[in-house]
Amino acid sequence: MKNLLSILVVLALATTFSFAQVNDNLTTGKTGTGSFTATVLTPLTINSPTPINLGEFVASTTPYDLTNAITFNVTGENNHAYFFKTEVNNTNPSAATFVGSWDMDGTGATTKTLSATGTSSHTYTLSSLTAIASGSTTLGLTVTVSYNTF
Amino acid sequence: MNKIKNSILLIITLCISFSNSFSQVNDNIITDKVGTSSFSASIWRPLLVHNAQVEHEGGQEYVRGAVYNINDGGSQIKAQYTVHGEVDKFVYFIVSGSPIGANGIQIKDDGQGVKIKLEWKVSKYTTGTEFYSGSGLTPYKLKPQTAGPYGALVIWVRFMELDIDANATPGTHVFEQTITVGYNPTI
Repeated sequence: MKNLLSILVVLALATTFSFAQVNDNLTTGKTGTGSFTATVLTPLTINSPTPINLGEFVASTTPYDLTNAITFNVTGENNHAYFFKTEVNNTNPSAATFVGSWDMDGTGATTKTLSATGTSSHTYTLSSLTAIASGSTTLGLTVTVSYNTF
Repeated sequence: MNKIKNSILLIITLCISFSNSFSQVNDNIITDKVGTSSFSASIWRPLLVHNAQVEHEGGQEYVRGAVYNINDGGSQIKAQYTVHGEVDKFVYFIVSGSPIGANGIQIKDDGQGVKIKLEWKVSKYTTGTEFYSGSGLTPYKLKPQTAGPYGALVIWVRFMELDIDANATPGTHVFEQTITVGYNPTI
């Protein structure tokens, strides 16, 4: 009987302690936070400008002076850098050769930064053409852009 | 001390900015990232006029004070200019001296009492068909030849008539015919 009474007393005390009010003035360090963060970018786009037909040229060893230009417009995330590659391909160099240049050459590891409004451009300016022999030729221009190097 | 702190903060900021700019971007959009365009040009063979060859030299003597028909008897005195250039392209030509009237007729006066009447004709190289539309500034097409890569056109000039004034200067009178050709009407 005594033993049973002792057990009941111990249980009562244990229950009391379990639900006792704890005085705690510490207000910090009790909250843990974690997160996944993702930054969403405006997709890169680039246009394909209308090709320019320069017309007919009579074969001559004297180059023809030209001032034609083609501009590619890029859009994307404001102020964000992107990688670009510029390429030029003359389909028939035996008919004519071209002299021109990009405002900035790109290799795929070259970067440029979009403006505060998310725009950028790449311009190829043609300065001369030497007509060599009868035929047709095209100077193909390609600009490839990406947020990642390529 | 503050300056050092500020400098350190600036360096850290720049590093973070640089890191963000060139960090790997996940990008599943594979369209609209390549822009293409081109300059195209067509190259034409230069025009070349072969010097006129007079098929029958005049070489004859004419008495003053008469008009001579020098285009009869099937023995026409004529010269031809062969123009070479890009096949199937149009060319224009102008003839020096006095203007050419209807039917390609031109009368040249050497100012020394002798006039010559010429008739200009153009013929397709392959067929020999002759025509003249009244002006050298009418474009004529360079026709393919039976051999060779060039287009060709033949311009003829016939010597039709000599009008020798009674007071014409004795001696040799020379009439030169020069043509100029071009791909553009603004020769």
